[in-house]
Amino acid sequence: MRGLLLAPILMIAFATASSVALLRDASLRYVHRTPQVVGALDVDLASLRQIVPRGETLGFITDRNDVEAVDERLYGLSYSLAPLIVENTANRRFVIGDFRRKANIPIALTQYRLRVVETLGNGFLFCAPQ
Amino acid sequence: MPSAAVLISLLVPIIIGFAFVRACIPGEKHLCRHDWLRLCLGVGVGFGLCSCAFFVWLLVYGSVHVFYISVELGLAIILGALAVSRATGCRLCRSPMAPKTTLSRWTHPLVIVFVLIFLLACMSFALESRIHPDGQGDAWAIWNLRARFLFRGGEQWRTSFSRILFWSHPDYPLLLPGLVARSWIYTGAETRNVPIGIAALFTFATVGVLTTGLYALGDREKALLAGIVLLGTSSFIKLGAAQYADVPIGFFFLTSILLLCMRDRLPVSGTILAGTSAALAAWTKNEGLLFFVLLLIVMKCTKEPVSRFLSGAFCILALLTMFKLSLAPPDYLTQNTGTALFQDVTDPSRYLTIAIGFIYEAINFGGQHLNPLLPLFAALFLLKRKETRGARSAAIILTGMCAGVFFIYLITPVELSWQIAWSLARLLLQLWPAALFTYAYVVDFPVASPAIIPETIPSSINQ
Repeated sequence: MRGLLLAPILMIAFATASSVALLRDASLRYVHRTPQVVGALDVDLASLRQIVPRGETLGFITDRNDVEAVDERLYGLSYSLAPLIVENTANRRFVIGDFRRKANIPIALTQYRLRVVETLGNGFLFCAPQ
Repeated sequence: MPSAAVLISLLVPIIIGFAFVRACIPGEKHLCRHDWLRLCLGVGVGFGLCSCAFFVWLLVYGSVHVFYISVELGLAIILGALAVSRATGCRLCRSPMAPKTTLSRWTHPLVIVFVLIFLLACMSFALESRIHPDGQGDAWAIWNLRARFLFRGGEQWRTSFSRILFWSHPDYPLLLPGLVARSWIYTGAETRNVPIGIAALFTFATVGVLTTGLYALGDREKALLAGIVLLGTSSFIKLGAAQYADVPIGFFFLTSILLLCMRDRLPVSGTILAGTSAALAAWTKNEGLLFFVLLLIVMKCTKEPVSRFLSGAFCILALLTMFKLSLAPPDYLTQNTGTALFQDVTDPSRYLTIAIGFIYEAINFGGQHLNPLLPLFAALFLLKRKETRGARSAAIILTGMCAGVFFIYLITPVELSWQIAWSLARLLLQLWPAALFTYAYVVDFPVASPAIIPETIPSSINQ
């Protein structure tokens, strides 16, 4: 009979330990949290959504080399700019530039034959073909 | 005021769902203890119905409009009236209670532990939601992104299904995006509290369905234990707070299987509700389609009448078909055809990679280095098992789902190891509430001897 009580006791012990561990882990991550990148661009890019007509597809260029980082910026831009679509190409009527280093901007503008229409902040430029 | 609008936006679907569930599983004129089960079922079902209603609105009206709120209020009134007219008595109250078990003396401590772990889970959920208010990964890149397209897009809401957005799986159905977008109509702005609230309700309603469902089947202590294990599965709580669709689809898997196992105690309209729930799983994610087909096959094989099941699913499946045929781009799995497909299916290394993936995820299941499978396996050796038709069907469906996932990995055109690492843990968590229910339904604590507890509860008692 005592063996039969072992089963529920094991389940309760597991669940309690797991819940406490999760809360401790979540508390630590909350205290040391960094600002979330996603959604942070919403304010910077709100004005752009007013200018560009709905349904427009925007191009996207960046000076980042890491594929994962490029994807993250592209997806983050799409999230903030919806319902505008952002595509990883320079061949569009409007192009968003994402630059970490100012020195890379003139090189990219020359390479893709673009001009800056507006500086959006946070390393983003709103560009159009020359 | 915005938080009041958020509350109302979430309350209306719950009222709709509760009324729909009460119409399918009639209750007494007054509320009885089984209305907790109806309420928990109503949370997910109501969310699903409102998402479908919103999609119909978009198709007919062409864009988001505040007048949509009156459609939902009308729906709530109609379904409420139907539920009242069908309140002819609760069949679940008339079903026999299970005899008291050796655990019956432990009811009060179990309730206390359940409440404590529930509170811990709520606190963890709140902290996770504060850390990631837009949700994680897929939540913002797929579900909340699409909700923004639907809400902001005006008459051009269809652009959200553009092939350019292939990385956001535009072929995925619209339960979550539709639900979030329709809630923003109530609030008038894109508040993050809406997706957080929806995620919280789905997560804790799943625990509610598991606990109250097992309780309705007769054993209160077993129900509490199952609820405690689910609340104590940290990866389940984390996934819920991450706003992924895997928790909502898990809710519908659990609900469909629960109703399948309860069908002897329910009126035939309970089968209609099972059909609605299974179809809502398909309206949540593509895996839901596989689940729906498996459920249908199992019902056919066990010679269950499927006409009522299909009638409950018909409208939602019709919407899904319309969505898949007219809006959604082809699924990424369809890219793999011909020779490449044959090579993948006949490549032994892929079988090995997938098998290793399954073993790895089984060992690391649950998160926090505390695997909930361990105490369950231990209990399996200590306790008796009972074979029922419902439990057998549920086990076949869950095994079929695992086999289906295995096959999808086999034919995926995406890099296999990456996809397994990215998705398998979540796919297994989708099945976890239903698997836990099946497990708790099968294992039996020994009946208490008369020396310990002198009487069993008479079947007529309605608590």
